Amino acid sequence: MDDALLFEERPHWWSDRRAELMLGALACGVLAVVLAMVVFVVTAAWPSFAHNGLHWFGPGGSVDNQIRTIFLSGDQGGPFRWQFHAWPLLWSTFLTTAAAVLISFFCSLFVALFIVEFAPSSVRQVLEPVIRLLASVPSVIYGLIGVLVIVPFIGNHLVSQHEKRSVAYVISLNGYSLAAAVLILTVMISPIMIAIFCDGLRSVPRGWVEASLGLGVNRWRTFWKIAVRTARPALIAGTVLATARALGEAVMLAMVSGSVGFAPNPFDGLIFLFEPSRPLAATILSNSEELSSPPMKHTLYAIAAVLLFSAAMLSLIGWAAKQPMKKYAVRA
Amino acid sequence: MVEDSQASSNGHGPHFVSAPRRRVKPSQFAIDRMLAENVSIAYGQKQAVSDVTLPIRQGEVLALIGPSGCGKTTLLRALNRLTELTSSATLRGRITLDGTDIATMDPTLLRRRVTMVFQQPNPFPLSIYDNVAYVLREQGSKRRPGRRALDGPVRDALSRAGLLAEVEDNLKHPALKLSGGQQQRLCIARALAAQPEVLLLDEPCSALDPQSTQVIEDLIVKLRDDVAVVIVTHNLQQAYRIADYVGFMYLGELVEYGSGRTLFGSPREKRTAEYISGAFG
Amino acid sequence: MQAGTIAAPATIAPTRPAGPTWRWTDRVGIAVCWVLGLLFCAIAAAIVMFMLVQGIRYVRPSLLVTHPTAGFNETQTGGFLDPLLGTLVVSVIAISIALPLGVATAVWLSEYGRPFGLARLTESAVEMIAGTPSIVIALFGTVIFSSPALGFLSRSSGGVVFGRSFFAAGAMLSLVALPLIVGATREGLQAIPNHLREASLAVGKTRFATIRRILLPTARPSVVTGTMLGLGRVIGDTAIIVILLGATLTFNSSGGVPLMKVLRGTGSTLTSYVYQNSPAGEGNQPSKAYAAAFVLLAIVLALNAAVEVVRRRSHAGSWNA
Repeated sequence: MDDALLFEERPHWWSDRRAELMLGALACGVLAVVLAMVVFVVTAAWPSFAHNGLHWFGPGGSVDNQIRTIFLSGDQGGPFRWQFHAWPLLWSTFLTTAAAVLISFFCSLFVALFIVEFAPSSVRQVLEPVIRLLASVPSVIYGLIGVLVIVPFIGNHLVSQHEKRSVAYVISLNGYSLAAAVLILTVMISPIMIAIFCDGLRSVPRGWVEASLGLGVNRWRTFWKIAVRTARPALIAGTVLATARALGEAVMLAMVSGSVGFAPNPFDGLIFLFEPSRPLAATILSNSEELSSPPMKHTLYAIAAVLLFSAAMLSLIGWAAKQPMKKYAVRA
Repeated sequence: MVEDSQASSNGHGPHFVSAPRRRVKPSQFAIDRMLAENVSIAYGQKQAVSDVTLPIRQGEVLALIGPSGCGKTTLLRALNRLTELTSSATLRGRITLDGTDIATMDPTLLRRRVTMVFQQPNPFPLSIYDNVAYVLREQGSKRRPGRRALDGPVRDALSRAGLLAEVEDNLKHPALKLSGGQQQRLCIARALAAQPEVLLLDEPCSALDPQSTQVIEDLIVKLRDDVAVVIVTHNLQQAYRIADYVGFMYLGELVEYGSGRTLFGSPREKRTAEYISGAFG
Repeated sequence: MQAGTIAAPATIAPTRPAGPTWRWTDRVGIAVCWVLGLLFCAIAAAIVMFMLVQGIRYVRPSLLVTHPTAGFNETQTGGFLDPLLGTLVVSVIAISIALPLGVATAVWLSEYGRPFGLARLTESAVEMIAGTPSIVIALFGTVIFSSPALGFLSRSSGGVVFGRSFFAAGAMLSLVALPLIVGATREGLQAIPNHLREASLAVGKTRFATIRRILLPTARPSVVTGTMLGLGRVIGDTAIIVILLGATLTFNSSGGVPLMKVLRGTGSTLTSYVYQNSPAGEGNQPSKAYAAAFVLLAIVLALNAAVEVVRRRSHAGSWNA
């Protein structure tokens, strides 16, 4: 019995105008929340930036000591200490994220090509759900396996005693390392890239594939030259999304990459891979107990602001990178 | 309508259009290139082509005509093994290229010698130059040909396709920005770049306007001396205009095969006569 | 077309040397594809197998129904009933906020969407939330919930609002689930062909009635898929829980009102329990951590399987089947 079909004197309460306004208000509520988030985080972050200026991003001193000082100064009364040089954290974030995204990009591209074209259908029907499964595993489980399996493996088997002694005065190479972090992070972000790459490859017009095969070009080259090239917007979108995920990963990295604010030094040679560090997001998580101390709180918000800014920049870069591609393709 | 078909059996040609039509001059020579013998193709349970035997010769244009669904496109695609892209397709019979059974050849190699132009122009999202150079670059040989080595063949292919004059000044132009007729000619140039021995055309003009159609028809006739041409067409007048030999297919069977003059003038089979005079199709 | 006479045919097209059609790099490429594809299968199998083995070793049904207690060694520390209930509570709060909000936003964006500028902004806002790390959302939550205005929603002592409670965690987790629900609902709505909307409007129904009676029920599989995906993210999230839920082992209620006191209080969920019991947290009881992780993984995988079932069933009856 639908009222709208009967002729009525008074308008239905849910008139379109009212409904539109209500729904619009809810939608704008979401917008308001996002704006509030940006404003609040930046405002709360400002004191830390104000006291440090650009040196916030630079090197200088042990980050861990600085954190401890900041926290204690707020906790025990007395003048607040603000000095904070986040370079080791930034460097660690950059290393972990860049390495994971690079490795994952190549792996994901080949796996996506495999799924879309070269896998026999029985293999494909197993592989696709497997990838979705990998995407849904919570990060704390990745972290658990990392800290209880991979870290001891690296600590006991991949790093020799001699190497450990050689750097013992600075850090301890006990397995919490860059290598473990990059390895697990790659596995975590690959499913995202694979899913988007697959979508992109699948949406290549069949006509082009047939034309290329019909000209006598073999399947591999057809896909590599035509399909991958056409799917470049999808490649970019997938990479941007995966990078954002890698940047924001806190739990797994806090469990696996080491709890020292140390900047791994590439000039150390092979040991470089096994040096501990702590990316930005993991820093926030590890020090989250100390939010009660005001200067510590502001410092942590400053780190969060950097993360937020990076995520926004990533989206922008992704959008900008897709623009020139519209020239050659029918759709981008 | 009965009078018309009687009139056509007198040898005056079909009467449904009264404008004078060009009829291509007969070819000077014919060299056997491909031979399809007792070819039958089925998609799963559905029989698409039954027991067709056809020769394909360099120096001649062979047109395959027939109503929709009669199997002419399937037969065309079987000539360069594109039917294998559909997993449910099965082929019986033999198709030979210069005496060699094509089923024994490497399909990629075969497709370089027997290339295809499709109904919808589908140039790649590259520049004009890169489109034509595509096949030349992607050969399996060790070294990629450099720019110098490519220039000659690219320009040659474009001129054989009748496109060079129009695009000569800017070969870097994106191919997708050309007009429909130019794109189709670009596809023909792309197919010619591989120096094929047989050129297959699947309703190449059906998406184009009459001017472009005329240009492409002239082109096809010019090509027939160098390349064996097989064209599938819906358009009876087009077949009449350019074909040396015509094969009429209906429901998968090759109903009649003969020279264009014979088939259009005095077809042997009744079904052919009915189709040509428009009784069905 | 040709001149009158032509000499013998100029050439038969020269037979080209039958060059190789595959370079060795092509073969290497396909080999790499195979290796990596099978590698990922192997990794997934390894993870599941490993957790299965550890789960069988450590999970006992009693763990699921015992409260955790503080203790020195593993036999004394009880089970994880509270974290399990905590996961349930936090999921319910998160989804009950995210679902109506998400569906409303998606409907507005897809069916109304004027003024255009506002709609584009809202779209970007949802995308921005999707791209924000959950740790940043967590910090944002501490800002809001420790402000005096919302202080009543969390525990406070002596006038200092801590800003940690189930409310806080649930609210912020709803932000995590929101983009997934919005995305899936929009896709579901956009897949409905326009003539259906036109037909409904043509018989005189208002747009809103059309949405309510026709479009939303048709898009229901997408909404369900989105909700389950969002639920999966909510259950698996640790960062927000650790920061906003106080990580007390058991429910630590605050205040007097029966339901509210639980929601205002702190507690833990499966994810924070695993985190605390791993070497990264305080507990360092690997057996409990494995057990809880096993239960967590089982829940998430079950959700995943349910999503697959819904997807497959909706494909059978979809518009473009």
